[in-house]
Amino acid sequence: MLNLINVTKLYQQKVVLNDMSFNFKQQRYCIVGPNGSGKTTLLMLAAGIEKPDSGAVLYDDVAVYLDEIKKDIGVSSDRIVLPQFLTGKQLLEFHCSQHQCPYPHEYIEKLNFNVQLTTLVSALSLGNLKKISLLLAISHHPSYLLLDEPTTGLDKQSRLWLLDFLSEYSGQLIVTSHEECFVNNSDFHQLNIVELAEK
Amino acid sequence: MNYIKLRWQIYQNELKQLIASIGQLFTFVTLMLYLALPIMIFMPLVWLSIIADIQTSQQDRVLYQWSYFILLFCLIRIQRKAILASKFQHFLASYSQSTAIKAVTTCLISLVAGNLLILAPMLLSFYIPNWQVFWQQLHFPLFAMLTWLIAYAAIIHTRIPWLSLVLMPVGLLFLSSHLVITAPWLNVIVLFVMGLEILFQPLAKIKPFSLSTKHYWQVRLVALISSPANAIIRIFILVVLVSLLAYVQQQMSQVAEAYLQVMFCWLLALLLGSFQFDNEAFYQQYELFLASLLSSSTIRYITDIFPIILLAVLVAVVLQVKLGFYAFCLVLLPIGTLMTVITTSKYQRNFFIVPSIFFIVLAMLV
Repeated sequence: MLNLINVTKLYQQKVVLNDMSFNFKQQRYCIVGPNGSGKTTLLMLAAGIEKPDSGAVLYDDVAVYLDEIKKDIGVSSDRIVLPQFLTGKQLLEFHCSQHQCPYPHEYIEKLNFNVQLTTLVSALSLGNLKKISLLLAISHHPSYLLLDEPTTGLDKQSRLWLLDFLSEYSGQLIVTSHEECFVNNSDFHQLNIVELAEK
Repeated sequence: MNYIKLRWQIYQNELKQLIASIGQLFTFVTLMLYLALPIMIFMPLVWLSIIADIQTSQQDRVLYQWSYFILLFCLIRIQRKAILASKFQHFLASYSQSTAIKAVTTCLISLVAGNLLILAPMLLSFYIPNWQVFWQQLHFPLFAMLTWLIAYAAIIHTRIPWLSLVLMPVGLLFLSSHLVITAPWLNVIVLFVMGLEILFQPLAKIKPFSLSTKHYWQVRLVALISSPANAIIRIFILVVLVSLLAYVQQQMSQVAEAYLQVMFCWLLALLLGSFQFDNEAFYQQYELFLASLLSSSTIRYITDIFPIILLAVLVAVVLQVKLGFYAFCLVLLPIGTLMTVITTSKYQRNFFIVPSIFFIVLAMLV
């Protein structure tokens, strides 16, 4: 389980997260909070993509930066700029080679992404960018899934499939969202980042 | 504000951003080639006199003419988005503006973008006094037309006209001893081939082979192929510098002194090492994506600098084998390049200080 210990994160001398500690004991969390309150930053730290200025981020008492943990994390966020010069297919091939996992034919089919596979990332629409980002997050069957606004921009069919997929997902799931499907979902433990920061 | 003024302002603004984005290269060029800069800027105009001379040998004509073409193509291509106002195409398309005005505006801005390289051949063609001389010097007006065609190709298509810009001169150089073509006919053939290539884009019909992207180095290769402008500019400067030295040595019938060799290696090491700016820009642009990868950043760094060092070794071999440089250059250039790469990562704009001190001390010792 994810554990934040006295985590502080600054952006250009501005404190985004201040000495935050929280042990994520539940299986599903939905982090809510106003825009700019640090929800995405929290996910980036939890994914080991950004490093805190102080404090530690642990999964089952192991630092998130170690490969053994990192390969077990799936993350999707618009903040992660994907290589614009690759096609969706090339990006997925690279990802699968890195994680030594099979090519995600089934997920591609379910998200109706087949037609976009040969399109350059730079030419993808916002909805399709979200799809490729989600595909990268789930393709290697991670034990920890961190999703930033996962349903934003998705078409109805893909959105339904994703919600179905997430409801059956057996690992630890942390999402940030303002959508009813997560905010008013009893399966998700609601966590207000502003209250979390004040603890 | 009318349409032309707006396009002009967009061009100026985009150009400012472009110059800022390749600022490091500009800093390097102005610092290192301060005295040689005016010569380098006016060098293409010197090439023009060789191209205009009907007596120029076929081999020299191919060399100088295509150097001019490639330079012009690069100059226009790097400004393509600024000339076309690509970033604002949807905004501009929302206004009803006649196609003719749009075309004239693009044409005028292209003239400014290509400036002397387009204007000089055109003005020189007008300078031809009468029809008799015009027919005798027909190759030159044809050459002027070719410069227009190249500017057009650089703007209108996203693909590089490999056939007429690269394959054709290579073929002509190889065949120059067997196949003699007069200057006007040469330019007529080029005009024909280039025209066909622009119209039909035959190479675009070849299905591009999809590169595998299973490994990090393959991803970087795709990145390089998708936006090769910076690498092409650096390799072009590299080729010009080595060619200039070869020319000077050939004219003076002697090999450069040891200290001059060290100074030349210094120049090349800074140029080659400055490739690292592209790597640093890549790391910055995809910082979070790269952080999410399982491979270590050290391995990725070594993977990225390996081609630069390999290129330095290749250039050093050329200097030693073809230009008679001392054997120590085989080691000096790669080391100097590696040093520049590391200082580029560490000190960014001040990348040149440490390698420069190293090379100056070395030149004094030699």
